[in-house]
Amino acid sequence: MVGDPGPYLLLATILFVIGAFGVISRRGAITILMSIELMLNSANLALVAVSRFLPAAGQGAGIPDGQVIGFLVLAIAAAEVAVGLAIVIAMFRLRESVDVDLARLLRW
Amino acid sequence: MLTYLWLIPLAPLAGFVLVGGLGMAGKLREPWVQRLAVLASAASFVLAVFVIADFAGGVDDYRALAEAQPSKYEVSAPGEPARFEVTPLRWMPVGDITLRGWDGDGVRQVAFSVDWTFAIDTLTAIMLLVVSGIGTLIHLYSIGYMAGEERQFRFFAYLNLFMAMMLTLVLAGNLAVLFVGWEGVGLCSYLLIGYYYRQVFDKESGLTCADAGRKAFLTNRIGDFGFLLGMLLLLLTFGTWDFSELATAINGSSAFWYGSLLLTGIGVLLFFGATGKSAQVPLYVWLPDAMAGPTPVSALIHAATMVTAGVYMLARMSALYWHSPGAMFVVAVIGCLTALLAATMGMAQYDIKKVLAYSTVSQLGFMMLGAGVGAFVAAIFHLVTHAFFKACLFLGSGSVIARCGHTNDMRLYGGLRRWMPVTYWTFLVSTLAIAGLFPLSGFMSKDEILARSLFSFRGSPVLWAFGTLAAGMTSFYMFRAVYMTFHGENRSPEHVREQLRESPTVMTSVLIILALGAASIGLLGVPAGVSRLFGVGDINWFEKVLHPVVAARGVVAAPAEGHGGEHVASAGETHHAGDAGVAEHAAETPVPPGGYLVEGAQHPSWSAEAGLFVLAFAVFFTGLGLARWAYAGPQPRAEALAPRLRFVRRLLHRKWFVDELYDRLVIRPYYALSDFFSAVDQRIVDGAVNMTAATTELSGQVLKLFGTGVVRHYALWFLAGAVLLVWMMMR
Repeated sequence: MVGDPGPYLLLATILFVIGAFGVISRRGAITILMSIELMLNSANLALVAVSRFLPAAGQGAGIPDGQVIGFLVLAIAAAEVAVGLAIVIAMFRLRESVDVDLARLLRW
Repeated sequence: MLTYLWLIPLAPLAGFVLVGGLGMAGKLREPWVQRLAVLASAASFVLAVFVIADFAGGVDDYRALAEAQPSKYEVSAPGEPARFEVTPLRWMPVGDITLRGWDGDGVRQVAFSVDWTFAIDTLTAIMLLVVSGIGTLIHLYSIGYMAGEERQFRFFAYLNLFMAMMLTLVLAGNLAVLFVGWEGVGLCSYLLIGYYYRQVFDKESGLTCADAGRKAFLTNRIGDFGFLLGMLLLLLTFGTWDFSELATAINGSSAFWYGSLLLTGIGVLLFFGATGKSAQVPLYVWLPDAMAGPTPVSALIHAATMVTAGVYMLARMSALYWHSPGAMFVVAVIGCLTALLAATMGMAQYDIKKVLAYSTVSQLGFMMLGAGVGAFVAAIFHLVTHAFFKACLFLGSGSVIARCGHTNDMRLYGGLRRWMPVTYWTFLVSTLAIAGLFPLSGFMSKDEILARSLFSFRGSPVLWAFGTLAAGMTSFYMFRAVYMTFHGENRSPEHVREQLRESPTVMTSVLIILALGAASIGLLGVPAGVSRLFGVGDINWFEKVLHPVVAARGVVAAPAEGHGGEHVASAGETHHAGDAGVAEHAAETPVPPGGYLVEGAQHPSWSAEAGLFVLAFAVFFTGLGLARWAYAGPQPRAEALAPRLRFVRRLLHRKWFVDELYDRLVIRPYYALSDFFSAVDQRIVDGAVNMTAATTELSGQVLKLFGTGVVRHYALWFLAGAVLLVWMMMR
């Protein structure tokens, strides 16, 4: 089924921008992780939409490659959150805070 | 035996490796250093004797071998002068080179390769005997001279290396191998001049021995540059460096080449190399300072062998010089000038070794004069006789120096014949020989050169007159040295005089051998004119043996072509055998209009020969008489005369101010230029490098400001970068 993925892509863009803004503007590590999740999922949305509506080269629309990649992204996001939360806990033990601006030892 | 030719230079080379290596490792005690070194040198002498004995029997036995292995052995054709070449190793297979085609054959490709070719002919055989024989004697003498020195292995190793290189030079079958030896002996000369590298050599100028070595090396480099240019020009012209092939090429196509500018240029360039190595004007200045080395070194390298390499090279390239009268003229004039100039300088030196050094320069001038007027045989003969008497003189002076508290100043000698009779008598015999007393060796060779410079059609009365003047001065300065050193009152300090005695036997025996040689070797080459005076036929063995190798061959250009036609015409008139020779050849091969190249010396009348003979005596006794008048006796007149001749003495003692002139003209401008380039190097070249570094550093300083350590900043940069990339891809 060939259709117009435009609205989905618009939504994905909005979600991505919100996520990026969150990563840059927030100081709490948990919020930042949530924003990253938002960005990943906006990318997933775009992948799935494009896979659903646009034809691949030489083939009709509806080839599920993009959707498979979406699953991969989900798995990776889960792993990333596990590592990220571990870091946040380690940092909290050290600083008694999850403010990422406090972690600035690696500088010139 | 001939096939083992290439082993001759390897023997001293092995000695160098053993003595140097084991000596450096501290595994070799002193007597063994000396024994090994002398053994290595003697081995090359013995080997040379065997090889030459085989060579003297003719090379015909090896013809079959040469045909079986043409790439390895080469034998001269039956009619040619005997020559045997062996190529133990390939060296540089260059491949095709492009000849410039100046000779009318057009631009063409020629296969060219450089090999380790060693060759022997009579010229090489004579040089081999001189180098290895006198070299071995001087090795022996060094045992006595160097007694008590620290770290002698350095000296003996260098001496062995020198022998190897000098033997390579004389055995070379092509110019490349010759050049290896040529540079190798230069290196050894440098190392040995600077042997006492910490000592100050010249108190007047503060020159250290290391400086003297450097001076010798650099001066030689200048000459070698010319030599190398000559070699390359030769290669581009004839496409070979092999001596026999070159001679064939030049002799064969001489109708085109005779007297051409190109051959003259090559000849002059090669000769420029010889002016460096053989200490001729304008590059002679290093040799007097080379006396900074130990005396045996002065005797071996700076009198008997290395400095004669230039003369040997001229004789080796005689085919080239015969075909370029211009280059020969340059050689003759430079030689004559050197002989005269150096003789004047030698008259006013107080350092005994410097007297001998200037004498060497002067005698080398004689050899060059001989080569320049076409008397190659006489030049080589003078080389041989000079090797004997000058080695003896140097070793005699070394014997004196070692006993007189290591001073070279003749003003601190005097009356030494009482203490050192053997040194005195050998020194005297050699002095008589060099001054040219009949029938000692110096007379035979020098008189032949002077006679040829007068009678050869390439000679001139002017060359002869200056040469004779120089011969007179030789007699004067040599007897001056004898009188100041061995006669009169002893002027040594008290503590030295108490210890005066004769040198050890190992030194005096060498002196005796050399003096006997200096007295008798002349009989091998009695000039034809002299033997005729005494009603004997031509008994010049040396001429008979050597002449075929250096004789003029080939066809000269037709006069119409304008290449030296005049010379040939006069040659035909003056050379009594010339016309007959041409006619004889005409029967076999078509003769071009210009005829064959002949050496053409006028054969003077009996009375002219007698006149020259008497004149030689007169010149000898004039020099002797003047020296005796001025320097003998309890109150030498020279001192009384000194104030009146102050200007001349100063001029001669300071060597015509040539060193000062070179300082102003060459060294200072060179330093100024070097300073300029140094500034360019430091400011511009180094500046560019430093600027690169400074830019890198500055950009680093700026960029590090972005590394804040705050994760959110990095995220922002990352985002900005991503946006930029996306924007660029969508654009």
